[in-house]
Amino acid sequence: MNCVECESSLVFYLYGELSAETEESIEQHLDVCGDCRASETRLATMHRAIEAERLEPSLELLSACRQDLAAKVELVTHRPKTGWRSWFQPLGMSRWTWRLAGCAALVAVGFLVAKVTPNLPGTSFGRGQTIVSTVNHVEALGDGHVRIVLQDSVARELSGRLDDQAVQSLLVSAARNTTDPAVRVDSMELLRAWAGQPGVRQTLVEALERDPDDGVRMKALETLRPYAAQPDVRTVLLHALRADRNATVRAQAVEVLTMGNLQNSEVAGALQELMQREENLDVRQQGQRVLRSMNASLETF
Amino acid sequence: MDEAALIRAAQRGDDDAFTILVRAHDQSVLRIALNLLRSPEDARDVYQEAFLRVHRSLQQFRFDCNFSTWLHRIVTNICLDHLRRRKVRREAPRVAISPSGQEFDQLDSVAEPRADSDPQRRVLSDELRGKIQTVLGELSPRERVVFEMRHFEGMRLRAIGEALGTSEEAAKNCLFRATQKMRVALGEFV
Repeated sequence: MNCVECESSLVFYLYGELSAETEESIEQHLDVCGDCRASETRLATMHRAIEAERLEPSLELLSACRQDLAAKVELVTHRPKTGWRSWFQPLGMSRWTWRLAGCAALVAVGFLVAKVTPNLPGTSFGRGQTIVSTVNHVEALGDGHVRIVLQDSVARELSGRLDDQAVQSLLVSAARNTTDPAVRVDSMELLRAWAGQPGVRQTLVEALERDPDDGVRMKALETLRPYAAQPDVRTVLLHALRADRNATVRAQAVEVLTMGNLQNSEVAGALQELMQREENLDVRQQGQRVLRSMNASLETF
Repeated sequence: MDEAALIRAAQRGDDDAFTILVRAHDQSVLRIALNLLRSPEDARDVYQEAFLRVHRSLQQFRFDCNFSTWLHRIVTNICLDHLRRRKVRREAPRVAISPSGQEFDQLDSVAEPRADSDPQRRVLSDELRGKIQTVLGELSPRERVVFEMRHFEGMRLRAIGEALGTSEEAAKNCLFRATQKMRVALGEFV
């Protein structure tokens, strides 16, 4: 290979888009040509500068998008397209007029229900409480009566110090159970200083292993970083490196597992295994760099 | 439940399956839109439009390609439309005025830099970063999509070609042109 051929292929060499034979020819040429080597170094520097410009959307933005979408899908899915509303279409009422009319009707129904419903035994709907009810069970009792089982949840607010055991327990619970990934991430951030405690660490380990949200797993990984030498953390990091579906999480796991003096043959083995099936070029290149620095072969054979 | 089963359930009208499907892919969709358009409002619009199109058209999905390829095609088409419109009307800068009267970058409040690139961001000069953004803005919409899908999403040329409904060779030519423009523009910096 000469300099002209090398120059024309260098771009795709760095993108990892050449055949193994062409890559080998380029590498042989780079070993003996200082000018082309310098050109390759400049191009690689440019790649790193560009990739540092990548923006990762915040969980707040993601959460807002999910809420918008849920509301729009709800509108599309559950608004009846035919039926009683169509009877009144000739009256010329717009969609917004109907929405306002619907709101007024709901308020009126609520008022009437409150007036006509007898005081049911076992109910305690206090004034000023925010109550969200889910119907868990309905059953006919005969004589026109029905039995309804409701699950009520009451919104409450509390505040306390972060070093309070009860506050920490609530945060651990929020990091595990809430349906909103942004709340899980915020809870993990607040628990960061206590990540060394077994209960908190176990929550983070489990989140990194199986949370369905990529951003939450990434947050758990970052929070566990100072404890990467601990056996349970190391095990879950190796699991993330081998099996996480998100390339950024895999890349971060590679970085954490190979920082300081954490590198060992187990990490090298996991990386070699990763090289055999990794599709993401950035993660591949990162793994290759680490393996080279460990003087390990790039793949197992 | 695997992805094919989720898609079939969503095609039958299972809202929960649709939600799981969205959540498996939505971070990638939002990242593509945010990087290409560099505007949180536009990225939010693209997110909504893409998934509403998926919701409307899921019945027509016939499993003749990966779901992610199909989704990428939808997202890139919407982003290309945004970029083309922007080329025509020269989009306003993303700098906004805070209630206190100070200018701020809207992206600062909605984007987190990739964790492993943070040290690099710190050392890169503002001038270099500004230059990169200028060149990205000057690429043709198609060149920009190809360039960013390779650099920011780590996608292979074949997958990029599929997402754009074009050949791998065409995507390769596009990427080469974009890279050469970037090399010329950043020559003095790297």
